[in-house]
Amino acid sequence: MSLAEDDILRRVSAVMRTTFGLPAGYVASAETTSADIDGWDSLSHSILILGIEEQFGVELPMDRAFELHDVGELMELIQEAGGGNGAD
Amino acid sequence: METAPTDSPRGEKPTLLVYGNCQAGAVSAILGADRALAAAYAIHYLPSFDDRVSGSRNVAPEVIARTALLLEQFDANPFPYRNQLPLHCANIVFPSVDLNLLWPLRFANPYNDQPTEATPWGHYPEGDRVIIDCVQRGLSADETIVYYRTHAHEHLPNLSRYAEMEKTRLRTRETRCDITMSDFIFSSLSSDRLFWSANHPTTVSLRELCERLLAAAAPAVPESRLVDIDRSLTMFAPEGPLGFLSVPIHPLIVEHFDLRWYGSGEGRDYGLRVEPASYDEYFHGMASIAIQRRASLEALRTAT
Repeated sequence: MSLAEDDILRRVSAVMRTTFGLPAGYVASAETTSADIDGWDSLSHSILILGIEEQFGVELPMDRAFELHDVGELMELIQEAGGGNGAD
Repeated sequence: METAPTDSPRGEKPTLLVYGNCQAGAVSAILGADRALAAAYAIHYLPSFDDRVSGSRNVAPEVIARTALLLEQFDANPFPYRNQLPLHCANIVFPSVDLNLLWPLRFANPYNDQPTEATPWGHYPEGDRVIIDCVQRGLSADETIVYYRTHAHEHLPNLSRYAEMEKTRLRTRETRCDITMSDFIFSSLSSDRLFWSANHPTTVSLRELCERLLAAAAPAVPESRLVDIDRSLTMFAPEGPLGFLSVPIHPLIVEHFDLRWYGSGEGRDYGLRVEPASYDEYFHGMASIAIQRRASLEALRTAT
């Protein structure tokens, strides 16, 4: 994983901690899916995406945001939208 | 769509099977309350989840084998007995009727109280992100309410963007369904109360869902044209089969989406009160239980 990807994962994990009430030290992996996280259902997914957009200062393509299978695909979407280049 | 036989060779009624979450249970109950439909079909509900209220996830094979119509909610847990359905069975896939838009602070409640027979999902199965955060920071219930009243709005998302996102979420799911509900939801949101909580629709929504299901089922189940949904709904309490939990809506959301039906006393938790609670009372109750539960869990952790 590159430094940029590592940074994206760190920031995605921070949004996930807030959105799903995960412990302070929680860090996701690219393979993490909704099945791994208590409370990550179709309803809370929208809130996660909004939090990601705010964190990275981007607007994600909504249709694709609801077809994601894991955190790795979310990271790809963030990069394609131009996120991951700025500071927190 | 092929018309289903009205009787099996042994004279048993064909099955009308409704599969899905608690909404499917409500649909099954509403359809089952119709005399004409109940006379022609054995109506069964099969939960797609661990339903502590409505019962078993098992249906007898002979009941499945007689299924003339499967009303199947699109679900992460697909219908488990598909290979046991008869060839003539009609299958209509419908979406869950849910909307998080009015409750963006909704949160899995880690400090809900333990289930009992009277409250199988605890009193507050729907948590609130800001309330739980206050509890985790050690605030009292009174302090939590003061904080909530003055700061909860800071935690709300961009509501216009969120509305677009929820529309997309529902429409994306509906591409896998035979009927839609998002058009109805977004055209009626301001004028009618459609939800008690994010995934508990009111009778207004359930009525529309049943109407659309019956219209789609009509080619296979001719009796569906005769169903009187309004009469069936009189068999339930005024709040309908899913109205036992009513979650208050933040005033800014009421204003933003012009929720003209919304009153001030709109909270009703699961069994704590008979009358609707005020906005503050509802969240005070949630905080009080969460504080107790957190203390119990901490004590248990210390003891072990």
